[in-house]
Amino acid sequence: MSYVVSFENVYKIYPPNTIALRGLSFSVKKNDWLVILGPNGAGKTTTLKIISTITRPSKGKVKVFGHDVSKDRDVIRSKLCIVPQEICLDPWFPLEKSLEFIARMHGINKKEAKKLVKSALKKVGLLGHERKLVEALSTGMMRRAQLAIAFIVDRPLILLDEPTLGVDIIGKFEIWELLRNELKNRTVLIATNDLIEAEKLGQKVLLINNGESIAFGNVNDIVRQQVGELTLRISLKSKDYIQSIIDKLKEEVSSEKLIYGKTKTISIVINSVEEAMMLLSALSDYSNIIESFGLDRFSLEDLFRKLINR
Amino acid sequence: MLVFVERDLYLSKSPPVLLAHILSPIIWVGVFGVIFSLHLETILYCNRYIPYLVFLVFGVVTVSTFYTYSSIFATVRLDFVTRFMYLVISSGNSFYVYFMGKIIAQYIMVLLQSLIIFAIVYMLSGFYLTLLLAIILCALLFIYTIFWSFIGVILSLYVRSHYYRDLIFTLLNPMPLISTAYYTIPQNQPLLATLLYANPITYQADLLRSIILLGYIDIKLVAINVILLIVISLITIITIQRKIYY
Repeated sequence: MSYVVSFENVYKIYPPNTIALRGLSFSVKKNDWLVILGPNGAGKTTTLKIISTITRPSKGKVKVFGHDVSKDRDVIRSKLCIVPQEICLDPWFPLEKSLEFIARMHGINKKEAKKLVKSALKKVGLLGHERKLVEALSTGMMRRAQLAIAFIVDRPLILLDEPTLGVDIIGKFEIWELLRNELKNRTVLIATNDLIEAEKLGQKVLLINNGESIAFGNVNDIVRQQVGELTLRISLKSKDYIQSIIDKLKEEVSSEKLIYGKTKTISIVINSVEEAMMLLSALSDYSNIIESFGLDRFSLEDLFRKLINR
Repeated sequence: MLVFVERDLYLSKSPPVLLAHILSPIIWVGVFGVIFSLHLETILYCNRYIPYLVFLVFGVVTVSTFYTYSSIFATVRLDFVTRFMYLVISSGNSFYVYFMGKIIAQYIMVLLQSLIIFAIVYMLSGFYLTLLLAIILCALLFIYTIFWSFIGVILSLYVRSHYYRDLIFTLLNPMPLISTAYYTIPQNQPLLATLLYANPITYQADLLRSIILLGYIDIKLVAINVILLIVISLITIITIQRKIYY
């Protein structure tokens, strides 16, 4: 099978000895959406930089559209568009002018560039702001303006690095919907450390930490393969007893179980409803502290915490 | 390449930037030059007395190419910081094409300034260039713009911290004052003369004067300028190859 992107045991070492990627392997099929998920410094941006031929791998094979990234850079570059996480629009240019230059830099003629910029600004909801200086836009507007690059430079492979960084949750939902609607029939790779974004956008997820792949595949499949199906969430009236309840739960279950507390909520990964009942009865001494409890499907966040041991 | 030229010129077209480019030669030639001429009507240069204003004009146009280094440095650095450079490279453009676009944009501004400078000098002293000399001047100014732009790009690839940038600007910006841009080499001051001889601006300004004012090609000056350009070009190419994977 021919893949749009394939990594085979890829290492990236930045001089003098910073290892950004350690034997990373994964592949992406045509029109797949892959979310590369990991904490800061995990190697997400490096992965996108290698695919977009901005930097080369130190070891291993990387192919994009079947072409070697170290040899066929020009062919690869003509088929992809990268949208960096930093706002790369010229801050002192009017928005439309900045995007127009980016379009023309990608080989689009002046007349066509104007047309495409207008249409992209309409898609991202910034029509009417085209004459504003980029630096005068709000963070959310800048982020949407930046995403307009992907719609203007319409290429089969789109690389988005932290596409909703700094955007409020409502804005994020709008952007996710926009991306899903406008980038249909494209192969899209998204680097993020936002778990909700990963769940909303990724058909597949590549979890990386310290440059290593720790899980790769369909979100639901890897959650099911890696751990049980359920999470018992216990909400407390006060966070004062959180540690003593976690200690009590740890006495009751095997040490491999994932238990973590966040503000006033404790989450524990379990395999069955019976196990949940057993644990709740063990906490009978704390019944006046427990506000509520419930069972959730095991989430990507649970998996993420388990895999990176945080 | 045209898109990069246009992008760099776009900001230069804005009224404050354009005004700065127009005012700078007016201040140097129309104000400084005129006031200095009141005290020093002529200057002894290569055994010939030359009106100071005419002597100065070649220094000022050379210095206008010198300042391209800071402009290139600042804009290339900004493009790295904002990751605009990712788009440049991943869009299939070579860094050299991007850089050449910047040089041409800078050169256009240098030509604009030179035009104003020579217009002022013509109005004040009646001095003007023949077409041939104007072409020679334009060609040399292009070479000088390349030279100083190379310095700017080397600095942009090595100097990342703002603090070091300020230090470098503080050290480099007085360079025109330690050259023959505004005065001749004082032979009775060996230390100052050595400093002046160690400055590329000295050779650049003097080459312009020897060809246009004195009417001969000084082979020694040509050789020094060529060697300087070759050395800086090699350093630039090696730096780009080492620092940028394109």
